[in-house]
Amino acid sequence: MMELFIEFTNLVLNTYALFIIGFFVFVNVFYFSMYAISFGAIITYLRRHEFCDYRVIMQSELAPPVSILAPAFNESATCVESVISLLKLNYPTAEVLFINDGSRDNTLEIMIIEFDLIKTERAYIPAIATKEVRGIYVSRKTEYRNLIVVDKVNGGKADALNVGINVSRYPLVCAIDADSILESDALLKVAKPFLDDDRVIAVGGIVRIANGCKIERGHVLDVRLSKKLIPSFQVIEYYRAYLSGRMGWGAINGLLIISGAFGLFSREIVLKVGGYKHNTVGEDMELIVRMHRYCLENNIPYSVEFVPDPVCWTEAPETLKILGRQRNRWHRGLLDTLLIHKKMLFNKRYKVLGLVSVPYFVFIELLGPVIEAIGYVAVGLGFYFGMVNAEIFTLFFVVSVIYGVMFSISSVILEEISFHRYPRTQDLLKLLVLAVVENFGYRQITVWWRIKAFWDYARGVQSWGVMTRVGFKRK
Amino acid sequence: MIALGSIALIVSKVRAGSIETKLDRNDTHTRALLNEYLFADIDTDDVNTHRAEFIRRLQPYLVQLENGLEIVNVSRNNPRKRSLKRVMLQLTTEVIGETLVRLTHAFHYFGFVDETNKSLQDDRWWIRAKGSKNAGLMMNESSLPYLEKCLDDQNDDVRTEAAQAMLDIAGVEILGPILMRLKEMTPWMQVRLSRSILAFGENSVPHLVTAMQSKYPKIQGFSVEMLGILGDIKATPTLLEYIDYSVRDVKHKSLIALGRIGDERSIPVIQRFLFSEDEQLRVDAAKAAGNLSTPSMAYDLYWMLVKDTLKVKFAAAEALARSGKLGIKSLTYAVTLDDAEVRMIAMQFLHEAGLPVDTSTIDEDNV
Repeated sequence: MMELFIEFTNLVLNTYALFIIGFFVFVNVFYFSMYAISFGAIITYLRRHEFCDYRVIMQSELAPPVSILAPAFNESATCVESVISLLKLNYPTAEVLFINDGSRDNTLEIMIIEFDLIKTERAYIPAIATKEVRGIYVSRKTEYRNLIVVDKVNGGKADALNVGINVSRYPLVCAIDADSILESDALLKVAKPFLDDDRVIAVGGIVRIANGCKIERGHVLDVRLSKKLIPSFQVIEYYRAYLSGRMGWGAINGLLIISGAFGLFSREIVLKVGGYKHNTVGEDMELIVRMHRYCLENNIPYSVEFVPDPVCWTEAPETLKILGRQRNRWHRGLLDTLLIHKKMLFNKRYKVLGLVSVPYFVFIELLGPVIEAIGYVAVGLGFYFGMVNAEIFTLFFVVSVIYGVMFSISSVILEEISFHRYPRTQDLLKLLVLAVVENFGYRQITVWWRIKAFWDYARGVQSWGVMTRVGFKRK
Repeated sequence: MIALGSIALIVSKVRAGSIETKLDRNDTHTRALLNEYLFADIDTDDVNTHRAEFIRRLQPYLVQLENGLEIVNVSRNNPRKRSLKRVMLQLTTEVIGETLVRLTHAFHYFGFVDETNKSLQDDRWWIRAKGSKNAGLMMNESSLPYLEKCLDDQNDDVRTEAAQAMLDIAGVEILGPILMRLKEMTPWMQVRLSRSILAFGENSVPHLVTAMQSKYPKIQGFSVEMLGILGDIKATPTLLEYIDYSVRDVKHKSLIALGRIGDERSIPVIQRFLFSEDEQLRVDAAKAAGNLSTPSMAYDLYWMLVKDTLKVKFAAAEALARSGKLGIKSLTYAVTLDDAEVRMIAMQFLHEAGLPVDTSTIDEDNV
């Protein structure tokens, strides 16, 4: 009986080992193909960048006006800095809509005092259904004439953004997190694709980690890597996700995610698809997928672009506990979005999306952590039952780590040849070391958080989890 | 491989600073020598009438510059020659008049014009685009035929740079031919060209009017939009003549342009479009009516506020707020209506116009 069990286990483990090797090869070939596409796209971007003088857009009456939507919930620590930063953005015509989503702290009071706000009679007619709007405020000070503050009953980030879309008056809406800081030319740069091509319906910009940087009055004065390990690991992850991933997806019009922290959208299309979805924690991704679907199903020529240059700085979690909550939420959002749009999987009607993007997100991004975790268990079992050839295991382990490190370093190289935002050599050195270190421990923890997300999703957990911010001002 | 890549990355990062310093040093030296040529005291009465003589007198200074930079018989990729080109191109935006003539001649003398004209025929789009940009900066008329060909280029950036360079070299006179030659315009190209057109001012109006005859809607639309921004009433008759025969997008831009120009001759046409079946055109007509600030359309706008779609209601209320006493009275009356949507919109625009809502003053018969 025992022999039969061992034989069966052996068969299962061998089959899984073969599957893992196949999966490993497939994933790495895919990643490096995407890296090659991203590399080409960044080179093209840099070449085109030479012919763009953003001062021309700044002075032009023909630049499309933008409404910036900044939803906020309990953001008293950062709201003033963020709004000042938004108001100072270089753009010919823009309004800033700060949406106080029923904060329980004194966010609204701080805003009223700091910006000298008064309640206005502005009509609120919801094109998208939302929770009740309690008041719309404008500033008495002329320097803040482009600021509109909306106070509403708490309904979540998606609901707050929908209120912003309803109140906005301009053809382009820029969704950002109220705790993020945009560089002064960020809006000009992210609006450029709308000027390059009439078909563009959404543009995502790169988000970078502000931890460690010197920030004053809504401006990043000195770019530095955080001294803490966890935010620094995230810098590498962001490089991989944005420069090696989204850049490539954008180039093949298969981009499924535009970060909620910084994206510019055609208001018309957002209204047509009904705005952000309320009952999901991945509302940013879900909206983009719906916009893709809408255009594909209605045969509307369109494109969703990614620009690697416009910089949005965000405060990354500094503790494992908070980072775990964030990653759990991201994975639940991914799972939810893919389930909502499961119809697109391998559906040729949805072109690149149906045949490449959605399958990639299902099998590599969503199920990847599960396959990896089973792999760890299988290796443990294999060693226990003496079925693992130590040499082959070591070889596989070393190769997989080397591939991981190569991919991370390639992303750092991509950053260095293009935008090199970290000017110090010691920061670059640290990033290169972290690209190796992250494979031992950090990566496994992120796998665990993502697996846990399946369990939480099955239990119907819909919460965002509390995201404690230190605030830029106190650094 | 990883180790090598990492080492290369660190070395390049460390070297980047010193390379930049070296380049700066080169450029400073080049600029000093170039200034000797550009500001050399040459006796000339009038550069325009005795141009050949002026150019002849420049010759020894150019030779001196060439020797000073040690660039006689060196390849175009020589660092000193590249530095010279870089510095000269930077200077094009800083100098004017006779100094610019000297600089333009120097471009020709050092072979940079021929090099640029050659690059305009390159297979790679970014070389053609860069060539177009440089041709515009060098202000050399010999580049015009090559630039003209670039207007048909497949690449948007090449077309944009070529059109801009042609305007920089030949001025407003070439605006009409450029627009008539173009088949397609990206919004970015429109933004770029609009800057030069605004600088040309009313001189560009006849050329834009000509371009309205283009068979391509994008070109028509751009011309109409620019005529509106320039706000010259000379454009009104043509805009009124073409509006009924244009495609929807050009109609939309024509209405906005007519509003911006503010010529009362356009009132009947704008009024007609207030009743268009197309919602967007009704919005545009309402906005145009608002820009004209005339009470003559207040009655129609009031009914649009009361009966039309949400989008039109907003445009109509905004227009009423700008339509004098009658418009304000109509908005004040709308505040008393049962329809909450209409009431809110009217309140908003009265508030935005800085007017207190006082319904006691309403004379219902008059409204």
